[in-house]
Amino acid sequence: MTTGAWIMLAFGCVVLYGGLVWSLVHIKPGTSKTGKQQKGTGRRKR
Amino acid sequence: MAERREHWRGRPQFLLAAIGSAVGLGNIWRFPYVAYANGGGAFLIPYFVALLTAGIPLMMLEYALGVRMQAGPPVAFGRIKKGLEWVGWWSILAAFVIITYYAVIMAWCWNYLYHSFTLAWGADAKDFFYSNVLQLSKGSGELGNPVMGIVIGLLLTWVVVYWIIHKGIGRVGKVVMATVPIPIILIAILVIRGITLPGAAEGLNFYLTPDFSRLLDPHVWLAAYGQIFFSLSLAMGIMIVYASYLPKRSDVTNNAFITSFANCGTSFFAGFAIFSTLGYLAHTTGVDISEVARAGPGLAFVTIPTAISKLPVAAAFFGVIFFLTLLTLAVDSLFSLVEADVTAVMDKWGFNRQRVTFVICLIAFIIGLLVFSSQAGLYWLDIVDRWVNNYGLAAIGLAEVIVIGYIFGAKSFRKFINSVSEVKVGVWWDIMIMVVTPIILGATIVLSFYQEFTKPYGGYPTWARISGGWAVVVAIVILSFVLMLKKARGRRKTQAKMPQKARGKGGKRR
Repeated sequence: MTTGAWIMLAFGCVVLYGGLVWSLVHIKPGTSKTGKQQKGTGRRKR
Repeated sequence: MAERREHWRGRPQFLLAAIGSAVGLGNIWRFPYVAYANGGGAFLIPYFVALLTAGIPLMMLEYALGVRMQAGPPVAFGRIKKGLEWVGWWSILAAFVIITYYAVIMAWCWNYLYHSFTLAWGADAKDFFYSNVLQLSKGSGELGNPVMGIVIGLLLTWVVVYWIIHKGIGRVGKVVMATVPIPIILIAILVIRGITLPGAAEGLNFYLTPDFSRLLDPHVWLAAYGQIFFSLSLAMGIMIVYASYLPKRSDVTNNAFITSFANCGTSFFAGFAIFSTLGYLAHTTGVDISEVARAGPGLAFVTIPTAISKLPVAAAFFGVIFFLTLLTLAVDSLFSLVEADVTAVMDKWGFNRQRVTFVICLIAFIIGLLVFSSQAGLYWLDIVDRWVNNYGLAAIGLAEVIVIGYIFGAKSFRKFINSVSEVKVGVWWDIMIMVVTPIILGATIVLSFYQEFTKPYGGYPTWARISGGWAVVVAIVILSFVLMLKKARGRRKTQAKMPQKARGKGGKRR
């Protein structure tokens, strides 16, 4: 492959897959159900 | 008592469903060619800019609308302002038109899956596709009879879609756990096979070698924005509907980033499978890659089958893998479109889901049977697809950004987005929604008009372009107003959770 093709291959990988990884690591823990921090279980019903 | 709206069982289900909807046939048969034709690797620059400035902001808009309003597009837009419900119906009707022919493309895939076990297309894949599979007539005026192979594939497609949709979002969530990862794995198999073939490097050079001088051409930028807009399943109501099945305070921005990057990453990846295979075909036949590179059905059903039949080993296996990839890519895009229609009808009139699903599938099947499965089906498919995309979806997208940007107010909408999201967006989002995206979509529509009048599309006769193109677009607009004016059933209208300020008398009564 040409050097230009290799450079654009690297560019595509960095921006597209880098973007995907960036957004995945920004998922906050405990948000899988509602997208919002789940309430803790510290407060119990009396 | 108001019925509780169904919800996805967890965020992964929603994300997979949204990614499955966005990733479709266009990722494999359109993106690689558009990239090649618009500067090769250099196209990635406008493509990435378009993703950040239009694709992701619009995706956020649609997700936020669904999450906030907890309803499909007609009811959601109606809640923004009474009298705007037609914008939602517009997108729903466009989605309906698309499903009538998208299912027929799936029917072709079923046929090819069957034929790939024996590589039935032989040495002349072009003749096989047009004469055997489509039995194509001489022109759009010669409808001929429905083609039996396509009818069987069409029936199979609608049975599968009905089975997935009729039980509700719960079954959709389970199905996407399989139908989204499978095509990615299959594409990976095709990439590995492709890049290990002789001539693959030459093909990839065509795909990726940058021609930076093309970046000065405005058409390249419009092509990038068009590719982003049409490949993310925007303006069809799907993302609003899928997000409406999330709980009310779900993340918006990060979900939009994940869906958009996953979709574009798949397109980029699929390009390696396509262009390495094209390189191999050029290598074995001795023709230039520019002679074999193309987009659309011609690529999937003529060029790639030709290359597959020339594979040194296990050609039938890779034929099966390729058409399974197309089927699994298409199926979740198709049922997401149907789901958008079903949800819109259920939200407004409160009909039973199974009945609504059955009626929509049946009507779409009949239209597909009579028009797109006929011997002139390919011509009509091409005309309707062109008009619905270039005028219908672009205009709907324009209407959406105007409604949110100027009528609801971009700033207050952004405030809501930031109140629920993991990644906060700044004032740039307002600028994209109020200025950049309307200009781009407006320019796309104007350019399409200009091209239509200077060089009519596809060389079709005027009556065919009017009846299959303009008439369909006008019918969508008129019908969207008719559906808006058709009153919701009293009971169901009040069941929908209307915001306090928008709640009318009916809301008080129950």
